Amino acid sequence: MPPTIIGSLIYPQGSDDMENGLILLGHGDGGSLTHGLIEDLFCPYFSNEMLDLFMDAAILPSIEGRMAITTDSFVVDPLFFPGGDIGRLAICGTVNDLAVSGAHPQYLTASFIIEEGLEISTLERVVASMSKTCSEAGVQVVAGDTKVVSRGQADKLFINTSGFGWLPKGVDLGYHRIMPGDLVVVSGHLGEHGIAIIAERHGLDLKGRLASDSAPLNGLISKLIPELSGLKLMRDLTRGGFGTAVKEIALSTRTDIWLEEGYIPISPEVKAAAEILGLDPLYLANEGKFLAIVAPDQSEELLEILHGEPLGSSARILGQVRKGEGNVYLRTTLGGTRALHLLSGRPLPRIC
Amino acid sequence: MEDRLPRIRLVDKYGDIIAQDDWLSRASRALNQGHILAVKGIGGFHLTCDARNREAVSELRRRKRRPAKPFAIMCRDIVTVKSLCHIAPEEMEYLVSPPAPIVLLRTREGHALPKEIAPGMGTLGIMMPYTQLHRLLLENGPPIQVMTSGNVNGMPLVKDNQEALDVLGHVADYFLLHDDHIGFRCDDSLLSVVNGKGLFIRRSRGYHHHAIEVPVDPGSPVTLGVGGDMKNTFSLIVEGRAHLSQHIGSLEYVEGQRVMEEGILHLCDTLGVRPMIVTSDLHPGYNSYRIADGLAERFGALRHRGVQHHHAHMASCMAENGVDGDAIGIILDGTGYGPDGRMRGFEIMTGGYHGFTRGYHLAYVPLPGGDGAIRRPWVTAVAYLITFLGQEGRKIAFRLFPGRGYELELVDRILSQGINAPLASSCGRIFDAVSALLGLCLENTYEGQAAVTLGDLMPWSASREALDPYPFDFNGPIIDPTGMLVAICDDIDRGTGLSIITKRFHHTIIRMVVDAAERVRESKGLSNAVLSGGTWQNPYLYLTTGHILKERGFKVLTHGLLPPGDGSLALGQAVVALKDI
Repeated sequence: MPPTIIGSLIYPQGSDDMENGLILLGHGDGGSLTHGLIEDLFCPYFSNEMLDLFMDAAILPSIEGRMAITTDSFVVDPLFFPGGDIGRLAICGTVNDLAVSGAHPQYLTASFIIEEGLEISTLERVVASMSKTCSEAGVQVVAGDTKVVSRGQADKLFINTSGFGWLPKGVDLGYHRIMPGDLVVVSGHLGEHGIAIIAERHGLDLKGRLASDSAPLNGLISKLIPELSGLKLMRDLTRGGFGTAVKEIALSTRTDIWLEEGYIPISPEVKAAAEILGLDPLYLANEGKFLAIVAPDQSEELLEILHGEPLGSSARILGQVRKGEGNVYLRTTLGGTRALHLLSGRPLPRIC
Repeated sequence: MEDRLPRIRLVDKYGDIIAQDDWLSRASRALNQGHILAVKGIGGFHLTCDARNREAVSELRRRKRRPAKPFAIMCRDIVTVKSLCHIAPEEMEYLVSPPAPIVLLRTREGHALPKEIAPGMGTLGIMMPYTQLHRLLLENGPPIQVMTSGNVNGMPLVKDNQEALDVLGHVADYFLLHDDHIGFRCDDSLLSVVNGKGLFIRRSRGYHHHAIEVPVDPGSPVTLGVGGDMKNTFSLIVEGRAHLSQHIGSLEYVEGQRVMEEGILHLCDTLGVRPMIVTSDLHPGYNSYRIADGLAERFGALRHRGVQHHHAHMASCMAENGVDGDAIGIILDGTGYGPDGRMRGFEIMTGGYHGFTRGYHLAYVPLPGGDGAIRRPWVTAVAYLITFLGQEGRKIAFRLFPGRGYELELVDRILSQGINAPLASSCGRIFDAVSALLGLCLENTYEGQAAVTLGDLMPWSASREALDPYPFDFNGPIIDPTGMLVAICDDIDRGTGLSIITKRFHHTIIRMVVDAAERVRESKGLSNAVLSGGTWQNPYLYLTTGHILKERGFKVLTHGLLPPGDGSLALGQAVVALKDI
């Protein structure tokens, strides 16, 4: 692969790896290579007045009210997949964690652990994607770090992001507000990210356009919160998927949650792929979907707002909270009731 | 037997009364006109229609979403049975016995019923009327009626009037109701008669009340085995006697799980006991495993860690035969969890109640998509071809399953990448694979369809001729089927007849287990051979293997009181746990 322009700027002198535009251990030693990488690669993409000061810490303007903070690490393999890449995930994941907590995400930190030998052009594609996703979400990366580890000590590239956001006055989301009678809403089709990753990782040529749904949800969610006092809780449906999130809600609130299988939005493509792979779409990861618990008298209003937005256009009401003791029940289209549990390892055959 | 006739009414699916005094003539007329009725019995509802009416039978299949699983039928009298099936004196005895089980009978060529009753099968499941209501319906309505379980697939039998209207409202046109309360659901028992003896497929109504003596100390603690997740039964050992539940069936759904738990509590109350030990299968994904945890807590009982599936099968067969000590287990079935996390189902093992050692097993094959491959035997066939025949197998797969190119590529990829493809060494799966290779059954619409369809091609008697098995190899403890797979594919290419391939396949399985048993006998000096596991419901395999083992000097122990399938797990679990404590 020919070295990128940026790659060639970063290397002060020639070496094979440098010629090939690869990351060296020296890019993480804090010396001139590190500086070159930061100034020539990271800065152009993340530039903002707080980051550009190059202080040991970013000093943020004062914010009134409550703050929300979250952190998440991203180790996805492969780095690039239909519908996204590790960079886009690293922004969306943290932004969405803040958004479903009711916060307006504002500032992010980004920390990179890079395996020696990663192509600089690859790193640049990831950073460019992060930058683009930041603009989409309206957030800024205000602090960062880069480390390089020897070959084999990490898998190409790991990213950690932390995020800060502020909560508008009066926002009160949480398990404590959930009551029997509340409805369960999901913002769109489930399982798309999980299937896209598996397909890309294993080179599966699946029918239909199976792309990750990764997207920042803060724009959509900011339209809901001021309108709906009956919005009680949101969860983003990443690792463990919808099934895990809904079971955690039931356990935390000591209620039972009843779901209608027929109402669960799953695209025919995801359904077919999951069937042949032997995977349950309810437990596949999503990166642009959330679950909401809403008071019944505001459920229609919630759906109306969601349906008016591209990221919520296939939102559905699919279940209800009832008195109980932490169980999740799925009424299947065939008429039986299946109990959903937390995922425990890989599903093993049970049919005789 | 119930001879008192409760007050009966015929209602429509909204519960509106159609007829009371003249219910019989109205119901008979509806049946004669091809309508489907839900009839309240003594253990739950049946769905019934005129078995001679192809359209009615097909409509019932469509509404019940049951495309192929055979329907049981009820006949007015023995003459009618004889017009449909061959019937031996021992079969007759079971048919007219007070428990009135469904008896599987070989059909006569050209009998009068539509093939939709039991598609692709050379057998019919027949029972005689066992209540006054049945007798009246069969005498006044059609003389042969479908009499199938009134339930939704995988769910418990419907037993209450309102429940019937709610659940079966989209299946039945009319309902025959009465106000006698059904306390506990009880499915009809199902058996075949092989070698003059009943071989249970489902032991339930008419049989489950009989406790059986088992070889344990009468003073030992009350022990509960909760059974497995499919064809569930549970078992309670009290004072040296095992009380076995009726067929509970599938525990896939919460509804089935509740019936099972209620049944356990009811049996404990009836016997006035409380289990001190509770055990289950080892499969961590079984619902019964979770239920056992809960019950142990509830009873304040010791939660025994669980009994390996095939160990439970073996122990159950030994217990019902009243034997103790060590034996050779020849356990063939579909899926049993191994403590190593792999699936087993082709086990030649040694041991007794106290424990077991694996002897020989069939080579493992990855199952792409796990349960998905079990529902689609053609996927299992592809897995066998690619795993054992490599590139050549891949070519054969594309040739044998044209039109599945897209899925086949995916399966190939899943196999090569090892994505969610748990390993299985299973007799059920190799039956599935061969059934699919022969084009008999590519996709199961009911559990075991591919294997049952293949087994149904064989006679119900022991082979009296010398076996002509396909080649296979012993590779240490592993039985390698490569030679057989190559030969079957060659035979398919050459256009060898289905019946010849099927017979040689059966002979290969028989030879595999007999050879393995002889090897174990040589090394361990044991000569009791225990046959258990669902595969032994295949009469030809069962009879021929038994015959050869006896010829070779083995003492053969088989199930007589319990079904060889997973319905026998609970007893084995309870005995093993009790002896383990």
